[in-house]
Amino acid sequence: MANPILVLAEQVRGELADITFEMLGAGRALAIASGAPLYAALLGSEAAPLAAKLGAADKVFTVEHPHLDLAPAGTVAAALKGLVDHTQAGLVLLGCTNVSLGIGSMLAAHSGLPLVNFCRAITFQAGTLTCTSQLFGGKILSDVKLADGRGIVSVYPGAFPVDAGKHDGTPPVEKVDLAVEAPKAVFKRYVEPETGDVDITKQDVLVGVGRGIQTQDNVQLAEDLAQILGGAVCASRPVIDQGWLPLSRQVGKSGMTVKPRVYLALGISGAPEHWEGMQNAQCIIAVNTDPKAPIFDGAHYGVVGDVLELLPVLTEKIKARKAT
Amino acid sequence: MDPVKITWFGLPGVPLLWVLTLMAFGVFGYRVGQLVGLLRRGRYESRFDQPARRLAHALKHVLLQPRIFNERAIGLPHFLIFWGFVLYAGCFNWGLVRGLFPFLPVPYPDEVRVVGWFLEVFAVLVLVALGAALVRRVFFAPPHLHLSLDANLILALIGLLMVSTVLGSAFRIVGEGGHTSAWAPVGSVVHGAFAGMAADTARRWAAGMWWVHMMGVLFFLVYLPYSKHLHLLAAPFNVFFSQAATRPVGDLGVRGATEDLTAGASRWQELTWKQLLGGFSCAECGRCDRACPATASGYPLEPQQIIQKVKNHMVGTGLAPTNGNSLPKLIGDVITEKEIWACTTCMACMNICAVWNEQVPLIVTLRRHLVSQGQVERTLQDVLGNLQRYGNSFGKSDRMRAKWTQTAGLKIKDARKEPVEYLWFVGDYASYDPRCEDITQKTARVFAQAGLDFGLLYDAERNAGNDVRRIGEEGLFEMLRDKNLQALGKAQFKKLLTTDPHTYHTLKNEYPWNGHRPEVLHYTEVLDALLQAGKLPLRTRLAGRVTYHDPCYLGRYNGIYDPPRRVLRALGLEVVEMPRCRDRSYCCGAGGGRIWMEDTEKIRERPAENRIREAAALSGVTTFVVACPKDIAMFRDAVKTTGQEGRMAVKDLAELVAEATT
Amino acid sequence: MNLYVLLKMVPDTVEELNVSADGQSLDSEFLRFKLSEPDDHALEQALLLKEKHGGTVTVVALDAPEVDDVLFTALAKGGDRAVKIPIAQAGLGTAASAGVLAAFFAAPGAITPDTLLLPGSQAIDDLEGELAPLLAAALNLPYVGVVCGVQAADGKATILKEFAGGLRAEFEVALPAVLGIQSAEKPPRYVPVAKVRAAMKSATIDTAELAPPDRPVQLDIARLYKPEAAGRAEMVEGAPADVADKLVDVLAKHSVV
Repeated sequence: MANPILVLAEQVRGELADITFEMLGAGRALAIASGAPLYAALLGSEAAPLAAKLGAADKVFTVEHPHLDLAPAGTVAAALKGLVDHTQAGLVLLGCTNVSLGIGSMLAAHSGLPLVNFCRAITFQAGTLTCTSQLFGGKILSDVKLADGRGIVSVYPGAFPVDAGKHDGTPPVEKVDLAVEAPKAVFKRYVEPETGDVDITKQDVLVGVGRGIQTQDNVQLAEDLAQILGGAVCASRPVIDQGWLPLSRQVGKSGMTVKPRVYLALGISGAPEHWEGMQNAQCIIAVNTDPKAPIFDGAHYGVVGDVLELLPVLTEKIKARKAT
Repeated sequence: MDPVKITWFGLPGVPLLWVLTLMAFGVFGYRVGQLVGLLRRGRYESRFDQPARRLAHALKHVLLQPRIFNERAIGLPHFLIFWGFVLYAGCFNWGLVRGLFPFLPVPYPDEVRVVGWFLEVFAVLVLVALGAALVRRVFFAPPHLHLSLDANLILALIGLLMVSTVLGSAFRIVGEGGHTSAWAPVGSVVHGAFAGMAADTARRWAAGMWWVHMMGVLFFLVYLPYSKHLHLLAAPFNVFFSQAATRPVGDLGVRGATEDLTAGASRWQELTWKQLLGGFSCAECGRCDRACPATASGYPLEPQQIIQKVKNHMVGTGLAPTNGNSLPKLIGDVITEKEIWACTTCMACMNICAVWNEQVPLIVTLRRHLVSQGQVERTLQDVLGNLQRYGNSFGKSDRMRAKWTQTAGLKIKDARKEPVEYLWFVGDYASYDPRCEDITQKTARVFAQAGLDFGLLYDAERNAGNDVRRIGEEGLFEMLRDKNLQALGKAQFKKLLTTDPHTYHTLKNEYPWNGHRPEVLHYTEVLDALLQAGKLPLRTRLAGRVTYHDPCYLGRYNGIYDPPRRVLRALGLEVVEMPRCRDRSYCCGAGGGRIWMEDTEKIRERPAENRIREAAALSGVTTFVVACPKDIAMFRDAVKTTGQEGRMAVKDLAELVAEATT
Repeated sequence: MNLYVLLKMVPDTVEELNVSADGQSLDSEFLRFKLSEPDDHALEQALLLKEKHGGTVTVVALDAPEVDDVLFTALAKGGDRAVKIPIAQAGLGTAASAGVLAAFFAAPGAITPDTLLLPGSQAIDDLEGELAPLLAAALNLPYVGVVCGVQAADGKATILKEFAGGLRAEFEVALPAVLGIQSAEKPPRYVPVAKVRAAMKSATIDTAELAPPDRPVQLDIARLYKPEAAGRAEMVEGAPADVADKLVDVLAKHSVV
C-alpha cells in the first residue's frame, strides 16, 4: 500500500468539522504503518485559509471553485475523482456524516473503488487493510478487507480522537485546476434551527432525557438540575419527536455530537443512535429503571431507579453542597 | 256538570275540544314522525333478540327505576312524579275520550270515587316531590345538572296540572252543596277556602279547572317532543332496546348490521338508530358527567354532552334544508378529537345512566372513524404498530414474552406441548413491564405452591386486544384475536386464567368461542378458590388496614367484587372501603388505550391521583391493594406525584398472598 | 408527478441478531425483516407530494421476507402501484441492488420529466454505500441525500437537506431526480389493519423480470461478529437520597459542582 491516503476535509459554514481531524489522525496511523503519504483534499472557493489548519497532512490539495461551495454529493465526488486521479490516491477517507453522505457512493460508482460505510476502526497489518464497520445500529460488527488497501472508507464521527489529527505545522498546498461542472442541485439558503437558544455542543454538563421522563411537564425537573449545574438539557430522539424540546437539543445520529465533561443520561436506554452522539463524554452517569438497559454497558456510573424520583432529590443535594 | 257541555267565548265545548285535541295530536304526531324519520336515517342494527328478556329488563327499569334511586335526593321525588304521570296520563286519555264522545255511557275518571282518591293523593305527593326537585335545583344543584328554562317550564306545568286537579275537586264540592267525602280527601280540605262561593259559580270554576287541566296536558303533549322531556317517550324504548338487556356490559359488537361498521362514523347518519335514539332518551340529568373520571380531571369530555351533541347535530342538520357544504362536521366541529380520545371506557357513565344510554360504544364508534383516517396521535401510532408487528404494546420481541420465567428460574409448562388444567394468559403488562415482573413471578410461585396445574402459551400469546378495540382499531383487534384463538386452539387446557382484567373481559366476552367458551377466571378468583379449598397454607398472618381498588373491567364490567376482598380478609387484613367502591369504583385512567396517550392538555388532577387522595383520607390505611397490572403503573406513579410516598404503598393482591404464604 | 418509492427490507433490530456459524451472514433462526425506517418516510413524503400535486405513487421492492405485507401496506396508505422484482434482496450488496433497480428504471417511459425517485437516505445495513446516490450515478440523475422536506413546482423540486444539529439547507433541483429521504415532513401515517386487508384482497402486486446481478457483493467481508459489551458501569445503589449523595461526589470529582 504505497498509494497515498486522501482525506476529504469536511466543512460546515467555513469551519472544518471535527471529523476532518479524526480522519487525519486515523490516516496518519495508517500512513506510518504502510509508508504511504497522507494527503488532504479541500474543496471550494474558501479553501485557501483552511488549508493551514491541516498540518497533520503531508500535503493539501485544493480545488478552488465556487461550484464546489455547498455542492451536492455528485459535484463533490466528480472533483474528488479528479484529485484521486491527480494524486494516484489508493485510499480515500471521508465522513460518515449528513454533510458528506452520498459522496462516497458517488465516488465509488465513478471510480470503481469499493466503498466501506459505517467504519469505526481501520488497521493495516501484513499488507492488508481491514475496516471494522458497525452495522444494524451497532448490534453487529463487520470486518471488511480492502485488497491492496485500495478503497473508499466512510468514517463514523467519534471513532477516532480529534487531537491526533491536529498539527501545528503548515502543510504544503497544491492548487489543482479541475473543470467543475455546474451542480445539478443548487444551494439556496440555510434554514436555521428553530430555537437554537443553547448550543449543547459547548456545554460542560449536559442533562440528557429520554423516554423515561414520561411527560413534557417532567422535563422541567431536568431543567432545574441543569440550571443548578450550569449546564443544559438535551434529549434522545423520542423526546424530540414528541416536541417536548426543540430539535437543537437532540443528541445522536440525527442531532448533535456532544463531548461534555459530564453527561447525565436520564431515562435513556442507550440505543446506538443516541450513544453515537454522546459516547465521548468524559463521564457518563446513567439512570434507568431497567437494569438491563444497554446504557449501563458504556456508562461510567449507573443507577437503577426512577428518574422522576431521583431528580428532585439530586437537585436539592447539589444546592445544599453548593451552599457549603 | 259535564265540563264539555258549557260554552267558552261563544264556542260550544265539544267542538272546541275536538279542534284543540286534533291540533295538539297533529303537532305531536308530526314531530314524532319527524324524529322517527331521523332515526330511520341511521344505520340498521338488530336490537330485537330475546324480546322476553328485554321486556323484563324494561319493565323493571321503567316501572321500578332502581337506577333513579342511585341519587337519593331525587330518587323518590322522580319515582312519585313518574307514577303520578302514569296515573294522570291514563286519566287524561280517559277524560279526553269521554269529553270528545259525550254520549258514551261512562263517567269522567274523577267521578269514579277510587280514581278520584288516587288523583288527589298523588296530586299532593307530586307537589311535594316538585317542591323537593325545586329545592334541589335552586339550592343544592349538583354539578352538570342543566338548569334549563325547559326543565323549569315542565316542572311548572306539572304543578299546574296537580293544582288544577285539587282545585277542580274543591270547586266541585262547593258546587254540589259542600258535601265532603273521604274519597276526595284533598278537595274536602281545600273546599273550605271557597265555601262562600255561589254554587253556580263554583260549578263553572270546576269546569274551568277541567279545561285548564286538559289544555295543560295538550300543551304538554305538543311541547314534549320538542323538549328534554322527550325522554318520557323515548326512554322506555331505549331501555327495552339497551344492550345490557341481553349482552355483556359495554359490548362493542353490532348485530345484524347491513354495512361494514369497522370504519366507524363521521356523520350522524353513520351511527345506528339505537345510538341516535340515545339522544332522545337523555334526560340531561348529569349523572354520567358526575361519574366520569375524565370530566372530573378536567379533560374536555362530558359523556352527556357527547349524547346531546349528537342529538342536537342530528336534529339541527337532519331537519334543516340541506346545504351539504356549510353544515358543521360531527367530528371536528361538533365533537372534538380531544373529547373522543379522553374516554377511559371505565363504564362509570353507562353504569349510572338511568335511561341506559350507551356512551362508551358511541365514543368507540367515533374513534373508529379517526383510526380509519389515520388520525391517531404519534405515541398511539407507535403502540399500534408494535401490536401489529410484535403482538405487544411494548415493541419488544414476542420471544421475550416469557422472559420473566427465565430470570426467576421458573419452570412452567408449555401449554402448547402438554395438557394443563389452567392456561395462564399473562397479558402484556404482567409479561413485559419491568415494574410488574417481580409480581408476575411471585404470582407464579404462589400458583406452584398451591399445586395448581398451569401452563403458558409462551411466545404464541398476543395482546388480547381489549385496549386496541377500544381505541377503535377493530381490524387489529380481529387480527390479534384470531392469532390468539389459533394458538389457544392448539393448546390443551380446561380453564383460562388471566392477570389483567382487561384481558379477562375480552377473552370472556369478546372472543367468538362458537359455543366452546372455556371458563375464564381472574387470578383473584383463583386465589380465592385456592384459599377456600385450603390449598394455600398461610404461614404468616398479615395484619393492618388496607383498601382495595376495584378495577373497572373486573368490577363494573364483570361484577367480580367479593373474591379479592375475601382473599384479603383470609390473609388477616382488614379491608376498609373507599367511599367510591364496588360498582362506583373510580377509574385509574389507564383504560381504553389512555395508558398509551399523552396528556397534552392541562388537566386539574389525574384520575389516579384523585383516587390515591381518596385512599389517603382513610384513617390507618397505608396499603392500596390492586388487582390489575396497569394499576401498578398508574397508582405507583400517582403515589409519587401526590406526595404520598412512604405513606401509601401500592401492592398487588398477589404480592400480599406471596407475603403470607412464605 | 411520477413518484417512485424504493422500499428495502432490513433485519429487525428488536429481535436478537446473531451471526451464523460461517461468520459471514446473520443467523436466520430469529431473523425478521421490516421496512427500513427512512424508506417508510420516503413513502410518506411521496404520498404527501401526491396529495399536493397529484400523480401516481409506485412502490418498488426486491423480493424479501415479509415484503408483500409492506407493499400492500403501501397500497393501503395510498400508493397506486406496487412492483416486486423477483430477485432476492438477501445477499445483495447495495451496489448490486442499485444495478438491478437502474435496469428497472432504464425501461422506456419509466422516467418522465416529472419523475422523482425516493429511496430512503440510508439503511442500517448499507455497508457498500447508499442506494440513492448509486442509483443516481447509474441513471445520471441529480441526487440530494438526507432530505427532510420536498416541495415541487414547475419541473423543479425545492429540497430541505439536513446537516447536523438542526441546521438545514434548501437546495433546488430540476426533475427528474433522486432524493434520499431521511424524514418526511410529517411522521408516517397510520393505516388501519382493515385497510391493509382490503388492499390484500383487491390489489395486485406487479412483477418486473430483470436479470440478476453478476456480482452480488462488492466487498470482501472477512467476518461478522457481535460487539463485546464494554465495561459495565459502576453501579450506585441505595435509597434516592443516598444515591444522590454519591452522585454529588462524582459530580464534584469532575469539578462540575
